[in-house]
Amino acid sequence: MIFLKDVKNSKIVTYDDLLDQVNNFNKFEYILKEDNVFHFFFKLIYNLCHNIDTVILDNDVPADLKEIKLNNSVIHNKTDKLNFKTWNNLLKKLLNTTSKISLYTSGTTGEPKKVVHNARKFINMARIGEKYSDNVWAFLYNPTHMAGLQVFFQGLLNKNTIVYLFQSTRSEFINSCKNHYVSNVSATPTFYKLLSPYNFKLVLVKKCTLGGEKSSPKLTSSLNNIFPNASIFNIYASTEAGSLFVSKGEIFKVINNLKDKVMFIENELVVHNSLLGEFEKKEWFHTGDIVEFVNEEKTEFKIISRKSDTINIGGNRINLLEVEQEINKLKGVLNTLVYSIDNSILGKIIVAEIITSIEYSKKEFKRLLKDKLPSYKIPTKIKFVEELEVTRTGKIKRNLN
Amino acid sequence: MNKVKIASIINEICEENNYNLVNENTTNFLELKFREDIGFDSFNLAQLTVMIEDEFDVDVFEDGVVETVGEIIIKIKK
Repeated sequence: MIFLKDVKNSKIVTYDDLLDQVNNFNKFEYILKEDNVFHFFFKLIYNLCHNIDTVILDNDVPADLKEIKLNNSVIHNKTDKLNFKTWNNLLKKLLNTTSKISLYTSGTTGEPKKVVHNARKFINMARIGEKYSDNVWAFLYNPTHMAGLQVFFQGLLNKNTIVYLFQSTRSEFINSCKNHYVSNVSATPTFYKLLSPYNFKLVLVKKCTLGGEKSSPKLTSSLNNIFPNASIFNIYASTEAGSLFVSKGEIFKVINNLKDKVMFIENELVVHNSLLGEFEKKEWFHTGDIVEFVNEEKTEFKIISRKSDTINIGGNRINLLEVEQEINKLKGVLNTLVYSIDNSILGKIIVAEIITSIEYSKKEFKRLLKDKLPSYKIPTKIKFVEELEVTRTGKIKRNLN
Repeated sequence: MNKVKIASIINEICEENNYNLVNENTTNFLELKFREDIGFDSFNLAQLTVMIEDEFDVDVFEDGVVETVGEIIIKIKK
């Protein structure tokens, strides 16, 4: 049975290979980065089987975090080798792991925030059973993010084949789905938007899931066309909480067992800390997401927008204040306003209005920013202005969002 | 005229990202695919939409992603 097909690197790994790797490995690394997806996955499984707490880092997390400095070089040799005779033995161990998994998310201040989850939380979120045993997953998320880990566990625990297609192009995705008989697809709305023009059909896909960003009915209807035999689901999830709500359309329901753990303050979704990973002591967590109720009982809602200054572009969280601060540090910059506008390609793009005392070309200015920020945080649109259009677009828009 | 302007917009993005430049006088210029031939990713495409919108006041990607340079020229003319 094949565990992983890494299409870009033409690598195929079976569940037997995976078992061998885990059995014969003899060191553990507290901190895992995704440099090679198979290594990342088997080291994670290895750590969980040994009940080792693991920190998972995205390449975006700054390398000067205290924790990384302290532990980066710490790789321990393990003497007590595991010897699982069968995959099921390993699975049993995995299902009972006591490990914790830490993820980082960019918090509202721009400082990466650490969120610690029990690994069992990921395992419990997975649906395991005979009816899932034939699933073949297209893996389209960053494996170091919450959504990627959820797909990983869902596939792994059902001994499914995972077709690794993160950062693949439209044609790579379409061809791989056909060639590898993909039945389950889970990705961000941005990814699905980039599959346009929707002049193809993938008839083997049974389930299509959207997560990570706000979706739209128009996109859902396009997806119904390209996946004619699939059920389409929206998932509301976050790094802090994992998956909270699932819906077949735009409307999410507060199910009974979440009723006491979810509330709304001025239409903002607020979640009880028992649903969250460990990262703050307050009892209730304000998600920053604004909803609109569609029934009088206030149990059904649509996600309208995000209240915080953090926006999500293509699965990357971007803190607009952080971008603003970096721009303000540049020579000759008197004032800046950074906000987001809708864009047909990425869903949203960043716009910066800047007042300067020196004359810059847009090109020059972007080059300076490239030294300060990763490319996805650099405003797509730069406007040099005499005064900030605070009332018309920027601040009003951002503060209300 | 539009061809020259579009080429210069594309090249501005190419220069920023160290991609090979395009030339509007080559025979296949209109057939060039943004992703496959020029090497644009979604962030580059978004930048392209913004720059074209600034210049021509048209959101060329509004009703679906266009693939080739020629398709953009057609949309601008409409």
